[in-house]
Amino acid sequence: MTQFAPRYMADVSVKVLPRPGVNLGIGALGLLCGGLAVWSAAGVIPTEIGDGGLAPVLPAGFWVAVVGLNFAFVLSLGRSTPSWLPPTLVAGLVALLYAPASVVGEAPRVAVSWRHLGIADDMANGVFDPRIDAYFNWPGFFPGLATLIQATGIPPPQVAAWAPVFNLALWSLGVAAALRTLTRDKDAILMPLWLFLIGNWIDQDYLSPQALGFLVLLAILALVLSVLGAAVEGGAPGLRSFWRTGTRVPEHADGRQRRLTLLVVVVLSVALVSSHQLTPVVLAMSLVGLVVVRRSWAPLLPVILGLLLVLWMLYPASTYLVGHPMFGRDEAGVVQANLTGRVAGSPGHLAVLGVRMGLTIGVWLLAAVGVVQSWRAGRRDLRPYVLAIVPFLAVPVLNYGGEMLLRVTLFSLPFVAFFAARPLAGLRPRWRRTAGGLTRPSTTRTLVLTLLLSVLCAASVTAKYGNARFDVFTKDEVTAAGALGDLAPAGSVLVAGAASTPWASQDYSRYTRRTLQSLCAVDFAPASCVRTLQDLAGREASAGGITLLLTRGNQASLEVQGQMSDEDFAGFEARIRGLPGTRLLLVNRDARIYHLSPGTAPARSHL
Amino acid sequence: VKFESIQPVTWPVRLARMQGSSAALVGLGVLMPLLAASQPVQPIRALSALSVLMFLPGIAVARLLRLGDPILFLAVAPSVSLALTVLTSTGLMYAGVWSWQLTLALLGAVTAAVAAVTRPADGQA
Repeated sequence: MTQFAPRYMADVSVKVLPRPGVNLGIGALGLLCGGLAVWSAAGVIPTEIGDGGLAPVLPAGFWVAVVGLNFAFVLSLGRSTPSWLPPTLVAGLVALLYAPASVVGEAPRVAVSWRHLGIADDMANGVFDPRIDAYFNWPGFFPGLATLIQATGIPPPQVAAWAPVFNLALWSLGVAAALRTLTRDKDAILMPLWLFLIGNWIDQDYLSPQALGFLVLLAILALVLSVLGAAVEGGAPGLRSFWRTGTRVPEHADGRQRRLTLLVVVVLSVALVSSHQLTPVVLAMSLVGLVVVRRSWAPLLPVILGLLLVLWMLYPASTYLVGHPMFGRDEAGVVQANLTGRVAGSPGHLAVLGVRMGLTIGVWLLAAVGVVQSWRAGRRDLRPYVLAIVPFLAVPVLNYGGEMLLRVTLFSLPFVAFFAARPLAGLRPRWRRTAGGLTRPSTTRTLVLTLLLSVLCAASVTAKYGNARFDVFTKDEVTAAGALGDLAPAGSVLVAGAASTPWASQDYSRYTRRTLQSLCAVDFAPASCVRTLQDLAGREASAGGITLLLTRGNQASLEVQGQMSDEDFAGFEARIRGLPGTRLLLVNRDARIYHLSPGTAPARSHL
Repeated sequence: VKFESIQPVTWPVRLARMQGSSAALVGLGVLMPLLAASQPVQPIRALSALSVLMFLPGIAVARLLRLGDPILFLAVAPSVSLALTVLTSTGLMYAGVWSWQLTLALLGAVTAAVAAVTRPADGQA
């Protein structure tokens, strides 16, 4: 690494001499606040969580910790600090924002992480059939997970519960490494990292291929921006002539190290391509962007990545891709699938959706101001602009079940935050010397920035844990979901009330699993939904009938998302109980399991 | 003619010439998979297995790359380790011979091999 971009916040690292012990106190305050937040969140009772998610039921101690941690953070800005202080504060923020995911509830949250445990368990037991579903066509993450679980002997639910904290710790390193290739200014790295952690409400940090994929993407970008980076010497940089002025030279002088690094990047790319559909495509686009702006000394890397992608789709993933095209628009349309189709539900849920959109748009607006400020200040390093914008080009191209906008928001977030931090940098405290030769921060700026960051943190917690009423599980729900496989007769189709069910952590491929949420999507009226189930019993489940699981979280999910009111849910369950041949197999505080015999199918008219 | 100069360098000699940290990585690459495979009590089992799955191969590779920036080193080492874990375990599953013990053994072997070929100048991160 021979050359770095000029400082984005040129006046940041002021040499100051704070009172002895101040840095220790700030670090201790940061860790204390992180610990206080986790302790406070651990006391929340899942059944008390309402439509507004976790934030409204968090105790006052949590919010005191939010303000205290941001105060400590602001006191570390605008001056030089010992090298241990920034990572200490970041550890505090990771604990504050992400450990609640691990400690709230009586079991790991997010139903998908249970499913991922089941896939890893199946693969460890020799089930490795690409005809099952997409996971078995991009399997890379799951054998790794199976190895980790079996080798460490850690209980799988514990692995799932602590995955978000673990992932965010690694992502933070990746984001910091990538940003350090753009600037060495301490605040210009720390503030975007802080904003990245706050802005990442997207909830892709649970135990998932996406979480691993994002980490690998960050590592590849950091290596490409540093060891495999290129600089343009001898030209006047600018948008109109950037592709022909000056001479492109490698940032790293040692050819052997560059070749070794390229080899490592290719190995990382193979792991990425084998593990996730979407991430390598976005990475390839970002790498092309860096080649176009002449800041990559490995122009063939996107070609290699593209070849790996094509080879993977032609052979290991070919089974799935027949009938499931990766490229092309969602049938419902980009805007409907990614945005308007998701804005529905109870008033509390709509408020959460509003906070999510507000937080995202707020960070984007800050970034837009930062882009203008940077450009006006003569910053012509095009790399962060490219890496912030290019992921969005994938939205209209890739078909990803209406989640593309969320995913590309995550991919671009480190570099969007890089620009968003710039306007906030103007609010950092100014340090002044006192008569005794010591330094003190300006009070107004300190308080304003602390308040602003605390509000953003509160919005982040509201947005991230906005589905907590149904994606946080109780022991009884987990017990019932675990018993489903034992109680279901052979050949039975398993149906749960909603996708928010902690099931499939074992026997993933043994059963067909459906949810009322998808089966009854056309009409959620109780009578219609019961008829749909009867049709299913006659059509697909003729051998073993339907084993139906209804949980507290299922009911909450349907109600919060405006699909079935509590009254309708009760009416639906009463009708199920009234069907001839229906048996109640299990009941506990938060769940019921019914068996609907194949004979419940409605009589068909033959015209 | 000094015939000594064309005598083959044996592994013990090579190990003796190795940098201390490289030798330590070679030792850990051999020891940790064995320790984890013996399934000792927790948390020794978890720590020994995690060291192989998440850190050792990546540290060996990151040292070889001579990454001058410590943050870059800290970001790349676990990423490479996890990527190698993914590739090794997936490859073994496709070959139908997967076991967690074999995966750990192969990752330990990668750690030892990369550390052994790392030149003293390479290891200076």
